Amino acid sequence: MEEFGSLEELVAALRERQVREVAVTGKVATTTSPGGGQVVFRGRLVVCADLGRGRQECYTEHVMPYVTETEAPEMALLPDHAADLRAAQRSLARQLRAYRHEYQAVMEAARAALADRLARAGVEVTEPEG
Amino acid sequence: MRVTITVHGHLRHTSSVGHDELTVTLPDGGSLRVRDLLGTLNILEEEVKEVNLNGRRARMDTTLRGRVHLEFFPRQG
Repeated sequence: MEEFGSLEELVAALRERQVREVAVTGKVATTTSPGGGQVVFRGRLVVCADLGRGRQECYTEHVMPYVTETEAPEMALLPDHAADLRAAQRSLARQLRAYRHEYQAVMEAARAALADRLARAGVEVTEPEG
Repeated sequence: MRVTITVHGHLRHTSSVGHDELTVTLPDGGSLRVRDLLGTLNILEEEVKEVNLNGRRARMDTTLRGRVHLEFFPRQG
């Protein structure tokens, strides 16, 4: 996979190859503070063109990071597996809830802006396979 | 523990994960299994055709440890 430093460089390379379709994949990483009181989201949008034979040319756009305070800090782990399990499930639910309510819209806006830049350059965004 | 979750097909629309690949930080301990995440992810076990753990086929009772990448493939779509 070849990675380009800017969208414009990727588009120029695709234009040379007469490739007019790319797939955009969103990736979001969350990091929780000790105790779980804060969740930090960092997003990326990976634009990739499939050149065939397993070759790809890509560009990664970083989306504005976001920090949110969660309503209920994680409880200290209790000394049994059931409590540990519930703590993990609560933590997952809290991160998913914060993502959906606060960061998903940021990702979607960034994705729309990227798609608009690609469309103006004559490149169509297709749904990733799978 | 860092768990990266990707869903495919109609699960992109019906699960809590959506279109984006999500990496979440979870407390260690508790012998967390794949099955234990399904309810929170809004995924029914019956609608999962295959689950991959770090690129290899896994079972619902596989325990998660360390850094893992989970992919859920639906029975339809």
